[in-house]
Parts: sequence; C-alpha cells; structure tokens
Amino acid sequence: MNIKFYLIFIFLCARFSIDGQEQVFSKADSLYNTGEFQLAALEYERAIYLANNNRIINAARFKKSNCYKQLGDHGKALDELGQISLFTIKDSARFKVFKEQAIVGYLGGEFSLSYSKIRQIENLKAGNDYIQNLWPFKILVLNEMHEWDKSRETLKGHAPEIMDNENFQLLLEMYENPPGLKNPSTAKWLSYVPGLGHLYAGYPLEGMASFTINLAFLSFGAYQIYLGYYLTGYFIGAGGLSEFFFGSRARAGYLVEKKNHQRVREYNNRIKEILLGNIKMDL
Amino acid sequence: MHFKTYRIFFLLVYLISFNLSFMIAQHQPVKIEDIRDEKEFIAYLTQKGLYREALLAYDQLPLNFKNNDIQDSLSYFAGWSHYNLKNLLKSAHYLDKVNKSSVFFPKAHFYSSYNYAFMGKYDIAKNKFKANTWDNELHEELKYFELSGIALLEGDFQSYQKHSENFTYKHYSLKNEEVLFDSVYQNMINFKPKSMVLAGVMSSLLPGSGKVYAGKLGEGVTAFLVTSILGAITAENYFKAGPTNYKTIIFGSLFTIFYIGNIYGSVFSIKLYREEFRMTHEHKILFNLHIPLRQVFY
Repeated sequence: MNIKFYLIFIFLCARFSIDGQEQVFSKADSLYNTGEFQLAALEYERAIYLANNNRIINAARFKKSNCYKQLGDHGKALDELGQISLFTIKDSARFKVFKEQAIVGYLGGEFSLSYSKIRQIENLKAGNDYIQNLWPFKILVLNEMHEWDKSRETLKGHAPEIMDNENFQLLLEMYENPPGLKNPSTAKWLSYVPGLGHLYAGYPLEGMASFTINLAFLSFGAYQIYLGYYLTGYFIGAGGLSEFFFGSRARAGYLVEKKNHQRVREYNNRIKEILLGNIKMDL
Repeated sequence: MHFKTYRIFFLLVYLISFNLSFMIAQHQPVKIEDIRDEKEFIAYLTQKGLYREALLAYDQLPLNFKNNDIQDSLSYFAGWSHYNLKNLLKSAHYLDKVNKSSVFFPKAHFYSSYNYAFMGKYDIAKNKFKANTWDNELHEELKYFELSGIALLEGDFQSYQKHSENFTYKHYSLKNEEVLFDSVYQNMINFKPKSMVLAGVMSSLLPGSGKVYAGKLGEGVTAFLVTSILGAITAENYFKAGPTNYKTIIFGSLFTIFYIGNIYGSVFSIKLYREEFRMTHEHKILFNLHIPLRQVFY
C-alpha cells in the first residue's frame, strides 16, 4: 500500500523532470480545437517554416487547408492542398488529399474539380473502402454539373442496398423527369411576336405587358401617320416601337436563363433533401 | 510521523510545486532570442507574400522588449505588409517607426513618403522627402524625382522646374520616368481648359455643338438628334393642330426640357473635360512615382 502510494507520487512528479515531447502541431491543433482558425493557420505555417522533412510540411499544409475551410476561404484551402507534394506520399495519404480537395471544391462551387478528384479517388486502391461511402457525394456533385444521367446511374449502382424502396423509386422517377430547360435563343425568336418569348420563359404577365406596350407604340405611330402627322408617327411610334421591341427580345432571353437556373436549383435541392434524409453521408 | 501525515505532506508538496511552475511560466521575462526567431518567421511570411499572416504574427508579439534593431525590422515588415494590402495609412505609420540606423530605413522612408503623396497629403510627403539628404547619388536623385512628381500633382510648375534640374537621365531605374515627367509637364502647361460660357452659347445656337467643343462627339450628335427631332415634332403639331393641342403641349414641354438639358449638359461637359484631364495625369504621375521605387528597392 505504501509502495503503491510512493509510485503514484513519483509518477505525478515525473512530469516536472521531463521536458515533454515537443509535439510539432500541439499549439496549432489546440488553437484549431478552440475555433481560432486564423491563428491556427499561422501556427501551421510556422510548422512548415521550421520543418525539415516533407512529411511534416505536407501534414501542416493539410491542416492549414482545414483552417481555411472553416473560415470559408475555399480558394486558399484549395491552394494549400494543391501545394502538397503528391509524389512523396503514400496512396493512403494521397487519397485523403483528393477527398479533401473534392469536398472543398464542392463547397467552393468548383464542381468540375470536385468531380475530377472523385474520379482520382476511384482509381486509387487506397480509396476502395471509401468508395462505398462516396456515392451520395458523387451524386450531389454530378447534379450540380447537370449530369443527371451519370447521377442516375450512380444511384442505381449503390442505392438499392441502402435506401428504402419508396424513396429510391421516387428519386428514379425524378431522374426520369429532369428539369425542362428552355432555350434562350428560342425565346428571342418567339419574341418577334412581342410577349410570346416571355410566355415561353414562364412570365405570362410580363409577356402581356410587353405585348401591350409594343402594340400601343405601333398603333400610335400608324394612327398619327394616317392623320398626316408623319414626323410624330415615325419618330415616336416607330422609334418607341423599335426600342421596346428589341429590348423585350433581349429580356425574354434573360428571363429564360433566370427560369432555368431556378428550376435546376429547385430540382437539385429536392434530390439532395430526399437523399440526405434517407442515408447518412459519411465523408 | 504516521504514514497518513507523510501522504498529506507529499500531496501538498506536489500541489505547491505544480502551481509554482505554472506561475513562473506565466511571468517569464521575454527572451530576445525568441523575438529574433519570431522576426525571422515574419520575414519569411512577408517574402512568401503572406501579408495577413505576417501582421497576425506581429500582433501576437509581446510589447515588453527593448531592442532597436529588431523593433526596426518588425516595423518595416508590418509597414511593408500593410502596403501590399493597400492599407496606406497604417503602412506609413509603421514605416515611419524605422530608425535611420536600420538597413531598411531608405526603403521605409521613400515608401512612407510615397504613401502620403498617394493619399493626397502632399505637404507631409514633401516635408519627409526634404528632411533627408542622401550620400547615395541614386537615392538623392530619386528624392528630387519624387518631389518633382508631387509638384506636378499640386500643379506647382515652378517647383517642378526647380526639382527637375537635378535629373541626370543616366540612372536606368529613373531615366524613363524622368523623360515621361518632362512630357507630362509640357502637356500640363500647354493645357487649354476651354470656356464653359462658350460651350453653353454654342449649344443654345446649335444643340449638341457645345458638347462637340468639349470633345464629346457622340454625345453632341445624340443631343442634336434628340433635340431636333422633338423640335420638329413640336413644330408639326403646332402648325397642324394648333398651340393648345395636347400633343403640341406634351412634345413642346419635352423639347424645352431637352433643349435646356442640352445647354446645361454642354456646360457640365467642360467641367468633366477638365476633371478628366486632371485625373488622367494624376494617375499617370502616381503610377510613375511608384515605378522607380520598385526598381531601386527591389
């Protein structure tokens, strides 16, 4: 009993006799854990500055990119990840870098980059286990790229084993009916009849207003010329008509693009809602 | 003593020693070696272009150390980082702290003065430049080059002539800009500001002609066409429908508005013309004040 007490005491005091192993990232990690991401990034940069081997430099860059990701600076996060020397690291570490690049690319709106990193992970042997968890993320990325066919194939390849049948069928049905995207050029051509392009774009009220204004200028101009007021008819009637006519054509094209963007957003959000409501995405 | 008493005693020793070591660590005086290491790290950050990180590291430094060399270097790095982040006032504040004995002093001094010139504080910039005489021939000529630029910015042509007498046109990092300043000077003294009254009278006689006189051909033609068309429509309705007809009144009112607007616009165009000339030359001067600094202090 006495010996046990003295041993415990020696153990407690031993911490004063040892300097403690200097952990390279201890300060930076503790700053990161307390949410001081800017200061943590600084300390990781210090670790890079003091490092004498690539392993520490690569690890520091990886952790620094996490700081920028937390700060919402996805551009800088990708820059740091891009500086990691992939040739000097193992497959398992390379896989982690690609995974992080895919996630940060998605968060930063760089979906093509994100997809290319997913493809690189699929080609890595070290990513084999992870690929089983990757498919929902791949679907989200493909949706953002409007690649709904590829997205559907990915869903068919993985979801049946995991998702309940009802939601799986619901998603398949949604993929059978992708958002109907309209053509801005068609809207501009249709606008040769004022207001028709707006109707095609899905803005009927604005189309009616455009039609009314164009008709008003045309009528005014024609009536003035009929009454013998040639200058008034030509400059006000024809002049006003040409301004509104070409303006409404350009407007119809813009409205189609706006509507397309809205439809795609709603469609992708709906799929995301169903997907993430039914499976746990473990990145 | 009982064993129980020994245990209490050893536990007390442990607790006291733990607290003591903690208090000692908190109140250690700042080691200069640590500050020097930090200075090297901040230098590394500025060289890599990580200016925000450099300023963050600078802000973490303790205030209670006394070493002029290190203080000067740190002030320079802070000033240089702020300069690259376009915080000119803060940049000047830190660069001004660099002492004459520091190796960074010449660069800090010139950039600080340039910052004041860029911010429009010409008197401060001039006084700073005049306060120093340089043994280095290139720095001395650079000083007069910067002073001549400030004179051009102020429109003080007499001072420009005086300072430009020190141009030698032989230093690679200065000669092109010296020649350019001479050309800017010639442009500025030969500039004819044009008359607002004349522009207004011209536009009242022929709508749009005042704007053409101000150098705005497109605007002048547009003003002429719009005013003329409205005038023609008003005349047509006046002669065919009479002066009290609603169309005559509407188009007559529009014609009046555009006619008066055309005159006002022509007068305002002269003001714009003068302002554009001043702004163009100001940007040119400020840009060319900066180039030699980059070349001399690379």
